[in-house]
Amino acid sequence: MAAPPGWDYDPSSWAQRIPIVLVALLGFAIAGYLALCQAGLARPWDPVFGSASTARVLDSWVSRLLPVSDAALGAFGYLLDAVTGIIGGRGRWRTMPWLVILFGIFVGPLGAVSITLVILQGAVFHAWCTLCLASAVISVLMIGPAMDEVLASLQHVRREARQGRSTWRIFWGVDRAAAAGAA
Amino acid sequence: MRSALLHRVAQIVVATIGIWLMVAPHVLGYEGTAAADNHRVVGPIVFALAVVSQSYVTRMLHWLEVPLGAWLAVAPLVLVPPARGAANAIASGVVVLALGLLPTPRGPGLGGGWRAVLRPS
Repeated sequence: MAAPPGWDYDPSSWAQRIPIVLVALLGFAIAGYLALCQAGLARPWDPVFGSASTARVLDSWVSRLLPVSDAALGAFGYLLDAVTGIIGGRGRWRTMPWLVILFGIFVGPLGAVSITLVILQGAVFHAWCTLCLASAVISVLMIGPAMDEVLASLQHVRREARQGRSTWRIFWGVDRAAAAGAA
Repeated sequence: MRSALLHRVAQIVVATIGIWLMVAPHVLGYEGTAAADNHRVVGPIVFALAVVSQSYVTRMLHWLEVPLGAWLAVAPLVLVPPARGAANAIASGVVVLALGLLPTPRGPGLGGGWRAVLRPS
């Protein structure tokens, strides 16, 4: 039985996780292309607002705030989402809480940063970039579906800690009895 | 079950208003005003909240739409934009506020939800 206590499904099942990983890989492809544009290795493409508008967004001062461009950072974020989404088997909410919580930490802020960038496009740069908007939608779409697994892991850590087990050992999944589901 | 469907439809409407707020300054011709900037800040946030609250585990995020809807509706009093921007702000704000106030749908317990994590032991 891989479903957490009080749940009627396993939030770590492949059916739950594969779609998130595929969407993250799509986000990686889009952000990766935008990063190539920012590095001058590809030409901006924008069917809606025109490549001049996209270029203005991609060349903004915000994109150059960090040593790496914002799209490169986004691509890296999507890659981390995909990697932390795919590692571990069914029931990993119980066997690897650290990884599931890390996955949630990667997915949540990526969406928040994307929305911030969309706000900057409209309210500060007054220029739009279709692929940047697509990337933002993708990062927001991933948040909800990723959070059930995070909740299951947090509940697991709390539940086992209340039973007197070490929160630290439960978090890292090294408490065999707890990881095996013995309540 | 009915409240779950109502929530889903209401949040699709809220997400659509979020996108609408981003294009409205262009469509209604109040580009370049404080209202336009305000709508292009609030719009993406409203959209994101509506999308994330479609997931059962994060459905309670719809409550955050309530203050945003209220702000949209009262902002014309503060920002003094042209009349067309104001009408749109009030209409969009009231709808977001009203739909954000709809009850959170009940369903499977998910092991006590987030309360089970936050409850002191």
